[in-house]
Amino acid sequence: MGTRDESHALSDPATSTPQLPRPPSPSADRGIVPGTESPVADSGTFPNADDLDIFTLTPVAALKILCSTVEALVQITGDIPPTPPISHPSTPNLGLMQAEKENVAKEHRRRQNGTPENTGDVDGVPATAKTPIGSPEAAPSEPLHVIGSNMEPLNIQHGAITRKFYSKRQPQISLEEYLMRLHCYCPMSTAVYLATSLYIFKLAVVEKIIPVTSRNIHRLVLAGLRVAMKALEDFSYPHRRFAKVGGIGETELGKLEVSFCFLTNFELRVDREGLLEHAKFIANRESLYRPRVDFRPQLPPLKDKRDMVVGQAKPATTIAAKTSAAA
Amino acid sequence: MDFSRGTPCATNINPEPLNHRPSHNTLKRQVTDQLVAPRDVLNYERPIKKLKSGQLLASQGMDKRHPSSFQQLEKLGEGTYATVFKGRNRQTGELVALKEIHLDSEEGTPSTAIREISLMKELKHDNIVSLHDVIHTENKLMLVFEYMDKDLKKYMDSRGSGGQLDYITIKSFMHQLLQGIAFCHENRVLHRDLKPQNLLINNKGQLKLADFGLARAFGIPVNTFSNEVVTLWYRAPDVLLGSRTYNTSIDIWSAGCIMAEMYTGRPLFPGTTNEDQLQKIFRIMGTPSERSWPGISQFPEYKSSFHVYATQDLRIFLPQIDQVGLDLISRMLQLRPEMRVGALEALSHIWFRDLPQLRQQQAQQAQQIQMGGQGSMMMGGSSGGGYGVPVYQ
Repeated sequence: MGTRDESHALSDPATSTPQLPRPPSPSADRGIVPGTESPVADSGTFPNADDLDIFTLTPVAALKILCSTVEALVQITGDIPPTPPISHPSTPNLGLMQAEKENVAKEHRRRQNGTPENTGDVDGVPATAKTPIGSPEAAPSEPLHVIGSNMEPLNIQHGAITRKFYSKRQPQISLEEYLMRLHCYCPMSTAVYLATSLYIFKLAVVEKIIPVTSRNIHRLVLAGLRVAMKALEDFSYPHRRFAKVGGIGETELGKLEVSFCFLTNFELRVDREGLLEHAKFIANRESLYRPRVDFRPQLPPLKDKRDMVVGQAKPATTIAAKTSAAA
Repeated sequence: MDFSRGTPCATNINPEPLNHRPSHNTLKRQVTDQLVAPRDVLNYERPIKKLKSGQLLASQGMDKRHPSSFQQLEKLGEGTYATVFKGRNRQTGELVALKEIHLDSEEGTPSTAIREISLMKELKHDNIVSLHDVIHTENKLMLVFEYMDKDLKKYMDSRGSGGQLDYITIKSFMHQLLQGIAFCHENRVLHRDLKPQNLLINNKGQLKLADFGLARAFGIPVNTFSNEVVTLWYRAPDVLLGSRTYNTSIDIWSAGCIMAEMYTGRPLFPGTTNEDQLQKIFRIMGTPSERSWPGISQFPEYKSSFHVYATQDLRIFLPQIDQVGLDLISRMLQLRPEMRVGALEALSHIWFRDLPQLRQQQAQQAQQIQMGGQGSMMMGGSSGGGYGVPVYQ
């Protein structure tokens, strides 16, 4: 709406008034562009819920909260088929399906020929930094539908959108490794990590829009971080660099990004209280089942069903490793 | 109509160069031509045709079940990342402003769009333009806003007196502006681009804040705070000095500049560059020193070679202003950010105390004129508004 300036300034009848300067561009401030070198590794120990302060929390510690949130969600969810049967049996859209097929074939051809975005350095990110998270389950060109709250086909539209986040196979790289890799080449702030954690938590638990499984977490956090950074920071990494470090194509990143916006219904504003409450909640939850080195792990008191599920589902390796260390 | 199926294919979001291949639409048409299910084809094709003829389909409102469509009318303006059209809701006839944002840039969805949508969705207030809807079609996002008649700059220009506004209008607009700002600040949002062009006026005399593309949440542990914010003429001295730790007070500085502009019809500090802008400010407000502003020499852009100007009386530049109004504006135009008045505090300034009475009297006068057969003339009418001028000045 404020974009009327330019035309106005040109037709300004008040001749002696100089023309309105062009609108500012926050990303033009060179002073906020982070260097290309990797950030100094902060200790990033998992925070204690009681004395948690989001302003002293390091980015890596916030990253671990994000990781913990998503892993807990995965364990609650279990393995859910990526493509829930579309509950709209009336008319299969043959036109779309056909077009989609063409696109899959096109994409396949493109991949076989080798695409330039897979080679060479981008912004100081070496070519070897390409992160292997595999190809998406949905065709990259799968139609993205208009979203309107409470519109009848909303669940179907969301179904089409959520499919975009699934990988064909569970990526080999663990979520924590993936996040640390992102943090290495594209360091982000405490607020961005915590906000992403909160967004995904809301999508899965409050809105129940998307099941979080080991097959979609990589794309989900990647899109979440991208959107959080654009929403909260004055600087965001070049699309090309972020896509490369994330291990997906630029086009796909663009689509995941806008999909994430619509999934969250653009409810991206966060405040200090919301972030703090969320971080404390996750840290508390974590302390329930994360065994400390200096004592023998016990099953937490079973208060409700959800606690039980999380408590049991903690990867056996961690517990085993820590217990043997204790012994 | 099932709109979801009518939505254009997402492949168009980032069109690739299609030199060697048939265009996607051609492809689709070839494919659909060969199909035997004509209903599907029709359902699929129809909305696309509609889109081409300049109409838009949309999912409407928060609680309406049926999608509504908008007719696109004339262009209202064009900016760096968006084009604004006037539009009409085809069901209700209601006028809207349609802000069209292209997604096919190399950087994905513009962060300005993400911010504007996410912030305006939550900032629901009488003095903030309301965002009705967001529509995603082909390779663009369409934001549907409530329609406002003009921006404050055009409104001022449309008044005969060289852009100057009358006393009651200024008071009413300032009160509404500060209410909008106070609401943003209460919700921990900085606007960061307040200027007359971003304040919209309707024919009921309401003023609303618009364009939240540069706005952002504050009070969260982020890494990057840019100092390339606020259009130069309305940029606070601390930002001009290179501060990246500014706060709500930068919006108050802009409001002070806007208040002065409503009195004179001219921008108060029309600088051309960062340095020129600082100089224009110092020439009127006086050059600050470590004595008047402890810590100023620590700012990145501070130069000990700044020309030293003495502080001038603002009344010289604003001859029409009354003593109480002068007190308010000088509290807003404090060089030191921590000295600037807050929005809530400004709203309780005694200058606003007589606003309800003034409005009432104005409404009565308008009614009398109307009964006298001269047609309705609310505050903000096209000519000779400001009935209060001879009475209150």
